[in-house]
Amino acid sequence: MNQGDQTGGIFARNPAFRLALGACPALAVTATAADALVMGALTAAVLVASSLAVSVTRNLFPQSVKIPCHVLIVTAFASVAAILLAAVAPTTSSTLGIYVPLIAVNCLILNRAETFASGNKPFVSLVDGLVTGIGFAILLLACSAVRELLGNFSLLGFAVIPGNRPFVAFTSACGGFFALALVLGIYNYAISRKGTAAKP
Amino acid sequence: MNVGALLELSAASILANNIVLSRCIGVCPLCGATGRLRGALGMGLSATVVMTVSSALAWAVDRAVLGPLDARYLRTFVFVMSIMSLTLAADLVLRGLFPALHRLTGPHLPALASNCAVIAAALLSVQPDPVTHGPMVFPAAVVTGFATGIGFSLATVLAASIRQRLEFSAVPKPLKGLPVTFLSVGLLSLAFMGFCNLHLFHGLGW
Repeated sequence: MNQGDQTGGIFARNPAFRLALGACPALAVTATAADALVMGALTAAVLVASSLAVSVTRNLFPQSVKIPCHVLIVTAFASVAAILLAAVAPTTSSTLGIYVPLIAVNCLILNRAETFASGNKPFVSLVDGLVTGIGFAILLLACSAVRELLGNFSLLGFAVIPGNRPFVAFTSACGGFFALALVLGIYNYAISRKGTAAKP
Repeated sequence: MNVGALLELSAASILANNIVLSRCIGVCPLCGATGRLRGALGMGLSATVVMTVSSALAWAVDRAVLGPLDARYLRTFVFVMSIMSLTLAADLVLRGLFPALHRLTGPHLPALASNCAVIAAALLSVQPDPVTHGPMVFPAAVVTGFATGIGFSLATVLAASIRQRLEFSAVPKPLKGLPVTFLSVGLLSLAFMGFCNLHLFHGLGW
């Protein structure tokens, strides 16, 4: 199997950017950069752990119950992440609310499990999970930077832009959609520029 | 539990707290599979049925098993497992007994178990009641599941119709596809913000 064609990659082939997989947390918990950082780190950790586990057990499950078994593996790791977060940082855990348990059904993680980890060796899958997870965390951070800058005139809690009338809409749900659209638009533009530059 | 509070709860779940447009859960179906209106409607309706049944199941499991065992931290795992078993069983039963209906639901049914909107509906049905602020009672849990499903269908159908129109419009090249979909869904979400603090059935005294 040609692994070069299949790995996610931080940017170029990352399904988080290409297909907006796992968009729910990218929209829901990116109102502040701090929340996005925690969510991105948690999702990346679950992604790495479940990619490894799916890859190790790839010859164990029969084809008919493969996907349900993978969902259960991811859910187990997501539950561990949720329990750990609630123990270590109860305030953040209650801010993020039901989005932490929902890592269990994050489509990005399931996509990596189905398309990559279930057909590749453990180490490659681990690296793929790590790289995809980092790309996803960067996407969350980019969205949250846009939203916190415009919605609160601050970044990571520090006031950046002077003024006291921020665009409050960016802190609510619709701001998430706008910020994600902006980030994906910039991503598409950058990718198309790079593509034309690479052509002779 | 009175009828007014149930109606209030369903109005809140469909409009003000719409699962897609205000909670941003279940966004993936908007941008991928359901570009077409018919597909969106079928998918939304099967999701509504699954959400109603799985919310009732989740509430019962939470009350009968997880509560007495003091194991609420296992909610996600147990809910995902039970909803997945439910949809797999329903798929098998439909395939055997009602092949026509099975062709209609198609591949939706097993896939719905790993749909974040379905799991979110189950998790929401065991949260405190947003209207009465007390613990969720069984009718309220079922209504939450059903209304969340209707809200999901509404958002999916609206987004699919917008996407159909967008196909014939001149969109700047970097914004083609996903970004412009998110922009228009964002406008939709902005419009739905107007439903906040709307108390349709407040004070009717039922």
